[in-house]
Amino acid sequence: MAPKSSSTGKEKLIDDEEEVLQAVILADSFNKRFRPLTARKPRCLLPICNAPLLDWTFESLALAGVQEIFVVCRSHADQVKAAIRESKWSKAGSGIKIVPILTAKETFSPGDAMRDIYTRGLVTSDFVLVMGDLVSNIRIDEVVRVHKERRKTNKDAIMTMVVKESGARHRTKARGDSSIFVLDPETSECLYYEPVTAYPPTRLAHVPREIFAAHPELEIRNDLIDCSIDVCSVEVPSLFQDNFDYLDIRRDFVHGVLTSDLLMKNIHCYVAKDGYAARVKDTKSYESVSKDILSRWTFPLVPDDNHPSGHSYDHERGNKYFAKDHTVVLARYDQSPLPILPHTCKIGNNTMIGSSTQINENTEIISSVIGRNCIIGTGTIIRNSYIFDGTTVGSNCTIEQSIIGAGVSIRDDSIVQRGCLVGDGVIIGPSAQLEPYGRLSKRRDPAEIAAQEDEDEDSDIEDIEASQDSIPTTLGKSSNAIVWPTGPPEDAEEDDIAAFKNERFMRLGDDASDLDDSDDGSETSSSESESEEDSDFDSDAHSFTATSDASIPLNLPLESLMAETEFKDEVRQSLERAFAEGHSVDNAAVELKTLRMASNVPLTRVREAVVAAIVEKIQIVEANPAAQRKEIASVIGRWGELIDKIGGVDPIETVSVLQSHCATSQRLNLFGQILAALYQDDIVDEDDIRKWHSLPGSKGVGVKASDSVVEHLKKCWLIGAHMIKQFDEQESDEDSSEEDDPVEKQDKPKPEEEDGDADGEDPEDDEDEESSEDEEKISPTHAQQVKGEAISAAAEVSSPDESAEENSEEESEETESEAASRGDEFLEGDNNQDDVRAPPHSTQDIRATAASNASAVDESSVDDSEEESGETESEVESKTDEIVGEGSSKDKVKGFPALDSHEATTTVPSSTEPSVDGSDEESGETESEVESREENPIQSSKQTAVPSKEPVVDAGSKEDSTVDVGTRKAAREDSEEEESEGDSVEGV
Amino acid sequence: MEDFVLLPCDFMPPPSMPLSVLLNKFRTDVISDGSIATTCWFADHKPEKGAFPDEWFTNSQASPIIWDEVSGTLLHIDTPDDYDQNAEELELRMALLSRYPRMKLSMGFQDSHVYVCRRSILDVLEEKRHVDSFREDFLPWLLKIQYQRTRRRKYAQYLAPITKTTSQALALKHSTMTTDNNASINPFKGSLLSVELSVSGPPSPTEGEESIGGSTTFRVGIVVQRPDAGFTIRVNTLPNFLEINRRVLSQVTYTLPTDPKDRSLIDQKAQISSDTIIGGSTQVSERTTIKKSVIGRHCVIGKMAKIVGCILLDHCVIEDGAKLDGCILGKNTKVGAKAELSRCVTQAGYEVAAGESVKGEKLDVSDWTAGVGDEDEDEEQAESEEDS
Repeated sequence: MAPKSSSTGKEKLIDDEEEVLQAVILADSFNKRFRPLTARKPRCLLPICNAPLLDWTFESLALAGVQEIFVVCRSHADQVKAAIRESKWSKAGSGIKIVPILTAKETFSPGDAMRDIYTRGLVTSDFVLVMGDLVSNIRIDEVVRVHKERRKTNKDAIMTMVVKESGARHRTKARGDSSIFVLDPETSECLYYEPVTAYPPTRLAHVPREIFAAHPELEIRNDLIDCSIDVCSVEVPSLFQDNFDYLDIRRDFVHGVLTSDLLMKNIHCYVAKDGYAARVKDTKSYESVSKDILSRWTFPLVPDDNHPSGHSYDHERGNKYFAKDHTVVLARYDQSPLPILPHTCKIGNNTMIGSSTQINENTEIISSVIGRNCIIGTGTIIRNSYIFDGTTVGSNCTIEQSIIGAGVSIRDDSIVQRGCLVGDGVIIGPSAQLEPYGRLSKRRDPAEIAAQEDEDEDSDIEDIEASQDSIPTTLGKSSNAIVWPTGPPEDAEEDDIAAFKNERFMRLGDDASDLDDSDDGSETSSSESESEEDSDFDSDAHSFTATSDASIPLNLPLESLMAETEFKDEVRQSLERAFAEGHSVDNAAVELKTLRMASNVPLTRVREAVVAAIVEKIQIVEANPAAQRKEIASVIGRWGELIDKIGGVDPIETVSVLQSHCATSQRLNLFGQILAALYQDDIVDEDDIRKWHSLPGSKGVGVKASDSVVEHLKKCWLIGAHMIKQFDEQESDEDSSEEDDPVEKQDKPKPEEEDGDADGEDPEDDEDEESSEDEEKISPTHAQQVKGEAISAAAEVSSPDESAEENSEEESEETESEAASRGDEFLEGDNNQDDVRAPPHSTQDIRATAASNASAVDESSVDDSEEESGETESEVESKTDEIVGEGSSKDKVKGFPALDSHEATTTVPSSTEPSVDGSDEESGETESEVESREENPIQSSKQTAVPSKEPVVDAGSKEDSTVDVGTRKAAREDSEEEESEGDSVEGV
Repeated sequence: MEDFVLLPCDFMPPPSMPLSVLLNKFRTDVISDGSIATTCWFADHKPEKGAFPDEWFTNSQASPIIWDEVSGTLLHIDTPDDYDQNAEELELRMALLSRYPRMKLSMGFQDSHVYVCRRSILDVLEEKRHVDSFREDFLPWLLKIQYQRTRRRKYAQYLAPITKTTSQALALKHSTMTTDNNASINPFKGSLLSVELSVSGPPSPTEGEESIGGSTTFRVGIVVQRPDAGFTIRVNTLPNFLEINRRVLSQVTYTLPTDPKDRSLIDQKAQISSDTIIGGSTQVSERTTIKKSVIGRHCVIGKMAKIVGCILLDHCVIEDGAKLDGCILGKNTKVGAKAELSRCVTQAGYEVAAGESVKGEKLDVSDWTAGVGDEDEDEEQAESEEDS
């Protein structure tokens, strides 16, 4: 078959302007999955079924009629060169020219290698690009023909990827490293490529909608094995050259080309229906490819025919292969048809044994590959293992599912558990015990170290050597091995750990079942899936509010939101820095813009963050309207213009953002003054205020926040109404006396005057007790410590009265499920809030709670570089409590913004966004509160449908508090309706 | 207590596709693997651009659907909500992708709104209040049950009542004629030669669980009607209404009314092409040309009028010398003398002034009381029947 295919390939090529078919083999793995086996040898020279991988690759290419092969090698290049020199293909008359290309040590990725190919100008026409670990019998020449045919009509078809049809799960398809292809079934053009990782599990595939329009019918395929055989046109290396950030051929190059709006290049797939192609890209695929070869899926490349190293094997029933030269010494093995003696060594199916290997008595070898010149001792059991040449295994050893390098000596009574990799030349035992996934390599002698000194890649070997002073006793007395760490590196960052966990899916013998929360519908994905359902049936979900805290999905898809949360944090810090160090507005603006670019968040978020920061910057001056006004004017005067320098000017939105921020902030009463100051500084003008005023959202209409927030919003709106009235008056030159809006409370006059009223009124309310309590402790410097105190204070209060009991109950329930993700502080923050809003009959306790809360607020304001303490600016008593509640929880939750912001952004309908977002950067808690409030109306409307809910709702003023906790989760979580209903009853 | 068929009144399948095709698929699927419904989608008939004024189209934005070709299973319908959530990308669960690794996606198919359903669908519907539209809300949701385990668990009691008919799954498994949708075409799978190679097989836990649910997939079948299978249409837009009329007209031959009274109303000198239908008691005056049109009953068409490719409902009055091209005239429409209408739709009772010339507009009666019949269902019919 091989000669025939190459000849047909040649004919084709001669027709096509007599081009030589070139191939490029990237003979470096660019990763370390096989270490320590690859410590002294490149991966492409590791033997699989007793022939180096590179030879299998050459054989595969020879089948395709390739005439010129460039082997790009990086590590251990001299060995690769030597191997090429000695391979049968370099002998005269092989018809193939193999050129080793030594690339620089700085080549760290396939992309770098491609750039190197470009700069060397190696390829002159369409070429086949494969990796140096390919085992294939696919007719690549056919792929090349199809590719060239396509190129005749479409010059933009730059690449054809060979993919193999299989199933969703296949042993040669690595779960940690597979991909989804979206193809046009007509042209087999690849329209979209998405890599899939097993950890963190890819839950959703994202198919861009823009490709639907141009292609009436698409195929979304998850059943393709990427063989990493690419037929590339000459442009491909140059594209790598142009895009220096392309590293991986699939993830970066293919994805980049397909998503680029500028390149207008096409990539096609060749879906191989039959034939075999697989890469040995990790230890798991090493095993599966070995088994595939032994079970002859790679025919005609099988051990007994076309063995790449030229060995010859006898094929016996059950896919057993023995070296043909009859040098295999099997202890009384029943090889001949006429048994002379009862055999005592058992050779199982799918086993291959190299020449001159000696198997002793009572040995059991099952589904394994044994190299040449090995000696296996008596009574040893070897299962699913791969033993390279020249290795000696003592007697009574057990080797399970491991790869043992060449020249290894495993002494008697040793046990090698699954997944072990033992590097060349290691000596272990006797009685060594290897843990699963253990990795051993030979300690290098000084000469060797000197010889390799220039090889920087060995630095981590040195580290490992340095970290091990003595050989672990489990390895046996005379061992020369060093043990490689099995876990992720200690200093690993989150990414590395994820990568490590993902690699585990590719590790030999590791089923990673602890990580495998299989993507089709286990608990985690279901909770997520139900959140989707929730969005479909909002009202359903909301009716089961106080409930489903039983299972908090710990691994929500937070990643996407992390950026936003981080962004808020960054903005806050950046502005704090700017405020503290007195940066110029322009500099601060530049910093914000950079942040925005880096986090890729919409402008609105920036505006919210900036407005919030500026508002919080304003210090609350008690009982001194003039001083307060001055303070506002100075802050707005200094920083106000920053709002318009963040990359876009939208004064209407500015006002909305200000409003929603104030509605959830303690600076509610400053809204009018701030707005006036903004007006004075021309940051907003009259028309903007009018337009804002006319927006339905500004009035609190359609904002599904809790009553208090809506009320606050309305207050702000009324203040705006007053300003507009003033404008009108100015315009008409009338000097009409100022009238209070009938709806408005009497302490709500026009902005300029209001502070006097408010300030005068507040101090006698309950806040002053609290402020006296804790005030003295507070200084701007230890805001953090005080925070802790506030929490403990809150905790104390949370038992006495009935509402508090409820809360503690709820707390305990919640703690079980939630503590992990949120922490206790958060819970207590919640409860504080609950206490504050408890019904009037428990006023005493509430007072106490409020007091403690207020102290927390003080601290929070301190945290915002504010020295003033009382909640003096809020006008109405009841309001004050709420604000206190919010303020107190606000500060505590700061550490956990991610979850809450997530909730808020996912569940709050767009109409309410401003209000929620305004509070975003302040605290997560406030948001979630807002969110829960939104749901309350729905909830109360639903109460007939859910009788069990009624007690809670009946509690009236408590509605915010008790329901609150559950609602949040219910909203996110989803309609575990039936169960959660039950829960809710308990919870209440 | 029986399974039922839910179907619209405006679906026109080609003769090559009788309802029995769907029913047969439904029966087979229900018995073999616990399918719960069968739907039918057909290739969208796309009128050529510019043939009709834009306002004739309602929001007929086709939504992408995803289905499995091998087993004929509808897997996903992209809803406007999905679109709102992520307008850039279509999000697909990996659970779906691993269950059906080879899916088809197309924007080019329209729902025929013919659903063959298990009785249990109604029970689920009972559970799921807040569902406004079967097609827009319920069906997309229903599709998720087949691959989302939690939902499955929750609704299994409704979907698979205990009194389920015995599944023929086992028998069909051994059949060589049926294509088992779960065991996908995978020559490699057979490579697991010995039991010891458990690593090489698909991980067993998942496999086991899937096979438990295997007999009741709760899947929704799909029959895809390709364009080459014949002309299929749902008369739910004005262009479709016109289109189906055209197609029907091409198959008729006009003969003068047999009733002498009606016959007397049609002038000898009127030119009426054979691909025209004229209702009873309609008067056509001399030297009027009518081509490719449907004229209702009791219409009065004046002299020298020219009517091409139009649909006139009953009681229309076309005065002398009027020219109509590609119009749909509601009941009681009156077109003044020498008026010219091109690609217009008129509301019932609309009066076009004499000599007026209108192109490509929807003509509404400003006074709603003017002659709007109760059973006025011409152009509005399409919109109103959508939710069944």
